[in-house]
Amino acid sequence: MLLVLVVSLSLPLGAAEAQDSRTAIVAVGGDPGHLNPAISTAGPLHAVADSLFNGLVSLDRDGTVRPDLATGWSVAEDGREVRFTLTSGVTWHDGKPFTAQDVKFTFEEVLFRFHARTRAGLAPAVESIEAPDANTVIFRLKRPHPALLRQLDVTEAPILPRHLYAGTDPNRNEANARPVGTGAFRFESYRRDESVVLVRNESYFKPGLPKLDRLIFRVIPENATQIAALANGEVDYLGRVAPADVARLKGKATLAETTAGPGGANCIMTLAFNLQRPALAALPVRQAFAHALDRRQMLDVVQFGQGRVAGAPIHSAIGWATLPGALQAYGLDPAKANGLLDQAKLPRTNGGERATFDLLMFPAFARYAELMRQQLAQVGIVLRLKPLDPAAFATAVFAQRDFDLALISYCNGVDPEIGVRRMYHSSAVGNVPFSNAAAYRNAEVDRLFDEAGASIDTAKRGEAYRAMERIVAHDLPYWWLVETDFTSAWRGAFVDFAPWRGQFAERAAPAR
Amino acid sequence: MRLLWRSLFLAAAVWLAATLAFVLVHLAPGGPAIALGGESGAPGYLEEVQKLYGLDRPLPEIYADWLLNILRGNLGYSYRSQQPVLTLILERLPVTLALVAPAILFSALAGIALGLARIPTQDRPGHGFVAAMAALHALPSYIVGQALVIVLALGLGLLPVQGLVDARSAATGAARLLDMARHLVLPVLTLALHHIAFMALLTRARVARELARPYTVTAAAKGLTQAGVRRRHALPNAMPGIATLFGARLGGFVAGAVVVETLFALPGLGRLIVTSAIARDHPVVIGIVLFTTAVVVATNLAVDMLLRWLDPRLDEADR
Repeated sequence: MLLVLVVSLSLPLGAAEAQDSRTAIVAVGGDPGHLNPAISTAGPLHAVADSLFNGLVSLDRDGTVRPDLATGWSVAEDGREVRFTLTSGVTWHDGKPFTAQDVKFTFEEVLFRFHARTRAGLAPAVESIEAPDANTVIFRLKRPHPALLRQLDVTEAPILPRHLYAGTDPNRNEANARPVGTGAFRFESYRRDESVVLVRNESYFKPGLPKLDRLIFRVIPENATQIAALANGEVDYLGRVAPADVARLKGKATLAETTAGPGGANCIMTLAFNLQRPALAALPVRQAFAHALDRRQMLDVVQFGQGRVAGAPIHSAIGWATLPGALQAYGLDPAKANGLLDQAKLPRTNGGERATFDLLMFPAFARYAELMRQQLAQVGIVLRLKPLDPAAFATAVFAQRDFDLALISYCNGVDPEIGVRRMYHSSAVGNVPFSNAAAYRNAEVDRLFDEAGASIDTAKRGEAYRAMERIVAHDLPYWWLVETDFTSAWRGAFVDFAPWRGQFAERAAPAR
Repeated sequence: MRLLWRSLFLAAAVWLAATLAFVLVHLAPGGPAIALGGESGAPGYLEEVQKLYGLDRPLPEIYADWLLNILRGNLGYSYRSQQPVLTLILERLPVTLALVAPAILFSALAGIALGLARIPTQDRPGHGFVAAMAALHALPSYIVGQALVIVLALGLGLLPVQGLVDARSAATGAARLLDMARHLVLPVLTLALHHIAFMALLTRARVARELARPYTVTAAAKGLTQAGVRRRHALPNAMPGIATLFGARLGGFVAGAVVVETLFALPGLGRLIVTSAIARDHPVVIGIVLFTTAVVVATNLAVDMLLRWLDPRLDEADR
């Protein structure tokens, strides 16, 4: 009976099921909640909403800045004024013209108040934003801000329509559920925890784009189900494929190896030491961790080789700022680790144990944590693993500081000002998620960050960052484990997805 | 009168469950502000969000507000979506019902049929059957679901693995219903198998117990076949006991829906409570607990009343 039922229900539906080659179905791991990317930095929201909006600029795969809503820009000699010329003839999805007032309003009233990274990274540097005419926007800065352009793509600074948001609470505006953007796709429907459907914007300001008619986002929380859906032809694109699944998908889908997420994520899996705990405040103990942890094994076993053992505190993709070989003094050497722990007066007890530490992490990082637990047991350190969901983790680590060790994927972004400064600067210690977890304070490091952040001379900035890396590589407030690569996958029926940028389907097309 | 007392008692149980949920979600580390703000890098931002949603007030004050709203029939508003909690629940309820109702029906029918077919005899004690059913009952739904996906969807290419409808399909009417039915086969099977095993073992044991009673011997002596004795005499007499225990498992179906809806990406109440719990969307979590507890408790009461109506001896036994 069961078999008859199953077989009868599996019969094709006929014409209604005809495959539409210009519709791409994208799996996302979580429901976006709403579709206003200017008030939140949550991943699932941006995965969907970024295709509806534009930033002033967009970023290439290597982080190079390209025109988007702005056709061009000029930076004043003293670096304190950046003038943007906006693309003319751009309209919002409801037909209203896009103007410089939209940009001014979005930054001043929304992004600087609610978008966490833009508020933290950009707002303090901006003195004022002016819109002298419909096609010109001028950013006046308190000091030169070299990372400015890279903080203006659709993920970091999406531009909202002023005519729908002015005078309202952006958190509760109805347009958050029925968004109106300038992007390649227009909003059609949103069913919570199920799907968001976008359709081609016929009036898109980039000629010939987009090439797809529809973009359907399906919310599929389970990794295993995402993979099965891709293999079964039910979805066409996965933004993130777990390393363990990459081999399984090969031959079944087009695989795009990417080293950056939207906006250039450049993430390093990092072990944060709580320097306020006496045992971990001792440098030899942290050095012992560095010598005891086998990062190559982590890369091979957890990442299935996708990425690199971290060589410096700043991601190797930010070539001008990183210091290759900064961590080479800490080779895998359990004997040395044992010596350092003896020196730190953490002798082995009769059971062979020296000390017990709590390691907090997201459940998704459990494999790293388990491996770490095994590796540290060799030198007598006992780890108690405490997996927590993001809200509980952020509270325990950053608000309550109730932890010994925390495993965090710190994403550096395309400029150290975006994702590196917050890890080390003393001003970033406090109740701010994913900031300075170690509670590291070093006046010279602060000075070097301030110097690098206020200069527009890339060579000078690079020098300051490398000097900073020399110091933190010695002080070890963190131990940098693995630079993780992200892998996206899509079915061979499509070409030209761009997983490294917010509007990843702007140029995507059916394969011929 | 007794019905009134029972109803009041059950209402108190529902209130207690919701209050417990209220306390637990508010005690859980990490508040809505962090979840709402995403990866916040802005000092002072969390405090602002706390204030915006009134989360900076003392817990008793928030509880009093909540209770007053409940008494007015208002389950509150979702922090995440700004929608009334009741609207969210009613949106999701059809999906969960479409999953749970067939699973209940299927596990009851298949479980009883399977149990009846495997009544132990002297020649056939059926230890293997018991072991197989016990193993099936013990397997987590997540594993069962994955196995079904691998065999029926990926292996044989028969069925879809996620969602309620084919995203590309523009089908309407009967074709759409058929499409939904196809999408529900794997989730319903996954949810039902666990309970089928329980029902099969329960039916088998209860009917076997009835078969050992003298009246079945009389029935057989009157010329009824063995199958007829089981179906027409032993099973009806065993049914009240089976139905009571099955009724007590209704909550298990709802709980199972949490896993199954997440695994198969179905936008039902189970998924809603998971995403709301992760997002610390307290009003939604508490609202769903209140709603599902009330439904399960009311259903159990209805089942109990139905059984008493069918078999007045139960009432006498209470006296």
